[in-house]
Amino acid sequence: MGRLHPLNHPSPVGEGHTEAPAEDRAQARLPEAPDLLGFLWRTLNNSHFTLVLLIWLSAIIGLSYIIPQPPYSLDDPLAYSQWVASIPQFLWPLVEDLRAFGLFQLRTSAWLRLPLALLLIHALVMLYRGVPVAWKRTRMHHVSPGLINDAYEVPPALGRQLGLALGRTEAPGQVFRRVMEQLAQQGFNVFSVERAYAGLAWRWHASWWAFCSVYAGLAFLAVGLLLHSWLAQASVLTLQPGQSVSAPARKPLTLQMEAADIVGNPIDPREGVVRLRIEGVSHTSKEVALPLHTGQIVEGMWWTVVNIVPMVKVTASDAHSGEELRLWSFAPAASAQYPYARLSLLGEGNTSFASLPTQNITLRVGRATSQDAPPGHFVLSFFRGVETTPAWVTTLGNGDEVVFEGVRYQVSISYDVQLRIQEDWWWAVAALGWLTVAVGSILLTIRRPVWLVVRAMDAGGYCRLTTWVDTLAPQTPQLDWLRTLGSSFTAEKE
Amino acid sequence: MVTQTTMVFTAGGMVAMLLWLTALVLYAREALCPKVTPAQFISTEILSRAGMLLAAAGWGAYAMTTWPQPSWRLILLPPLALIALLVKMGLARRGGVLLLVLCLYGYAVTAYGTALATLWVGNTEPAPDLTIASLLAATRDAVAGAASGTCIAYGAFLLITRRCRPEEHPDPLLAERLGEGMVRVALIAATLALGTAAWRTWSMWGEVARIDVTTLFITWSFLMAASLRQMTTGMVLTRTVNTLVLLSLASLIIMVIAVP
Repeated sequence: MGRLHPLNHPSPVGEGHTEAPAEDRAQARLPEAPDLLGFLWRTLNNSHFTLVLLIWLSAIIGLSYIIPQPPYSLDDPLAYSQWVASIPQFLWPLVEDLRAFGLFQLRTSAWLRLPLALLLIHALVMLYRGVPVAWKRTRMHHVSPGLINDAYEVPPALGRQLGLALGRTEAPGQVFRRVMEQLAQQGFNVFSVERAYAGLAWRWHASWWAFCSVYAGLAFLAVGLLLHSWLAQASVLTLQPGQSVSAPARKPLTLQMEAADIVGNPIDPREGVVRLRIEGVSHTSKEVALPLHTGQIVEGMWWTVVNIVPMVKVTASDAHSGEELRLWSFAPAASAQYPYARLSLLGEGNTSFASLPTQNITLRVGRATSQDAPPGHFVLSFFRGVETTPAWVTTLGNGDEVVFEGVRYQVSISYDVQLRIQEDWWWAVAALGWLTVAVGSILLTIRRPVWLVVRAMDAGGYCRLTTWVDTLAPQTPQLDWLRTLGSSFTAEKE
Repeated sequence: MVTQTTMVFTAGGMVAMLLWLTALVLYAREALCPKVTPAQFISTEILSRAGMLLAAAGWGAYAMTTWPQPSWRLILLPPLALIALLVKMGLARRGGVLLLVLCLYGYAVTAYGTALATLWVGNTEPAPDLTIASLLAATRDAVAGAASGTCIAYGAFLLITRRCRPEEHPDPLLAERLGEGMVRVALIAATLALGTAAWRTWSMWGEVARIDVTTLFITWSFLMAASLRQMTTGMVLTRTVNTLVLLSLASLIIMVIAVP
C-alpha cells in the first residue's frame, strides 16, 4: 500500500481528486530498484502489457497461415530442396534470409515462444499482485488496520483507481453515516467501522476472483502451449488391413487393424468404427474400438482416427486357366510384395493407377460421376498401351468381377486408416488454461466489480471525506454521483 | 429452375442485406442523435420489413427447389437471420432494448451474408447427418455469426457517433454504454465460438491447428484485449478499442469465407 501523497487537499466545501495509475502503485513497491529493473517490473505489472502480448500472439499465429509452413523439418537437405522447388522461383533469393529468421517454422520458433514465455511471467506477476487483494476483499471482516487508522493510506487496487476528496461542513460522523446509507441505497454492500469513520462498499466482489482467474488461465495456457510446442510428440500412422505397424510411443506397441466397420456409403465413410489389436512388450494383446473422429485415451495416450480412406483392391487372373496375374501399382510407396493392387479412390497423384504388364493394360479407379450410379459403386477404366482415352469404362461395386480381353478382374473395397497418437498431455494444461480464461472473462463481462473505501475525518472545522474507488466497470460509479456523496441535499432528494 | 432460384436468392439476399444495413445505421442514428424526423423512423421500419420479405422469399424459393440438397449453412443461417429480426420487431413494440436491437440487426446481416458467402465459394455440399460434429459446427457458426454481427453493428455505430455528437444527446453516456456493451456481447460470443470450434477439431482430428480455430483465436484475442483495455482504463470508444473490434470483424469475415 502506498501513501496518499498526490491527492489534492480539498477546501471546506471544495473537492480534489486524482487517478492513481498502476505504474505509480507498482513504483511505490520498489522504490530502491534500479531503473531497468523498475521498468521491467512496471511493464510486467501493467495490465496493458496483456494487450500487447495478445496482439503479438495473434499476429504470429496469423502470419503462420500466410507464410507457408512446411510440415517437416527443413534441416534435412533433401526435404529442404524439395520444398524450395515447390515455392515460386522469384522467392528463391529470399528463402535463406527468411529461413534464418525462423519465418518458415513460426509455430516452433522464438517468435511464438517468446511472447508465450512473457505471457507466463506477466500472468504470474499479475497474480502475485492480484490474489492477495482479492483474498482480502473476499474476507470482508478483515479490514487492514492501516486502512482504518491511517487516513492517507492508499488502498491497493487491481483495476482503475480513482481517488476523490470532498469537503463537507457537517460533523464527520454524520457525513460518514449518510455516505454509507447512500451507498447501500445504490445497491452496494457496505461494511462500516463506526469508531474510525471508515467503511467499505462493494458490488460483485467475487468478480475480482474472475479477474485473477483470467491471469491464472493465461499462465496455464502459456505454459501448456509452450511445453506442447517444445516437447509434444504426435504421430500419424497409416494402418492397412493385415499389416502390423509399430507405434513410435514411449512404450513399444504393435498395432494391427482387425476391421473397419463403415456406416452409410462404403466409398464415402463419414461414420465408422475401427477395430485395432494392440500388442505390448509382454506380448499381451487387447482389442480396442475407435470410432471415426472421436478421440479417446488408450494406453495413456490420446488416440484419434482422423480418416478412413476407401481403397479398391484389384486382383487379376487369366479368364481361362485361372492363373493369377501380377498387377503393379503406380504409387512408388506401394508394396511390391503382393500380386494385387490397392488403388485409392481419392484420385491423388498416381495412387489410382495400376498396370498389367503382361497384357499392356493400365487400370484406373475413380468415383462414379453419373447420378444413376448406385451408392457404393465406383468406375474402373481400362487403357491400352499409352492411350489416354479409356478403351472401356465400367461401374462396379464391392466383390464384383469383370472380364476384359481374357483377364478376369475382381474388385473389393477395403480401408486405410489414419490414426493420430498424441503422447504428451501439455495440450490438456493449455485447454484447462483457456477454459479458466473463458469462464473468468465471461463472468467478468457479465458482472464487473466495484470496490470503494470511504473515510471521513475532522480537518479543523470541516469534514474531509475521502473516497477511493477501484473498478473494472467504465461507467460505474459515475464521478458526478460520487461528488454528491455525503451531501444532505442528495440524500433528501433520493 | 435451380439456377433461377439461386439467382433470386443471391440478388434478393444482397438487396436485403443492404436494406438491413441502412436500417441499422438509421436505427443507431435515431437512438444517438436527438433530431430524428418521423420520416426517418418510418423508413427504418419499411427498410427492415422489405428486407425481411425479400430475404424470406429468396431463401424459401432456393430451399424448396434444392431440398434436401442445400448445405447446412444454407438451411440453418437464413432462418436464424429472419428470427433475429422478428425478435427485434417484438422488442421494438415493447419499447425496445437498444443494445439488443443493434446486435440483432448485425446478426441478421452476418447470418444471411454467411449463407450467401457459402454459395459464392461453392461450398454447397449437402447437409450431413445429425452428428455431434455437425451440431458443434452449426453452433460454432451460429455463435460466430453473433460475434461478427455485433462487430458490424459496432462499425455502423461508429459511423453514427462520428457524425452526431453524443454530448448533444440527453444521455451523454449512452454512446459509451452501447460501445462497451457491444464489446461485451462480441467477447462472450467469440469465446463460445472458439470453445465450440476447438472442441470440435480436437475431437475430430486430435489437434486444434485448423483455420477456424485459428481465426477465432485471433478474433477472441483482439476482443479480449479490447475488453481489458476498456476495463482497466475506463475509456470505451478509443481508437485502440475501435481498431481491435474492426480487426476482429475482419478475421471473422475471413473465417466465414475460408472455412468450409
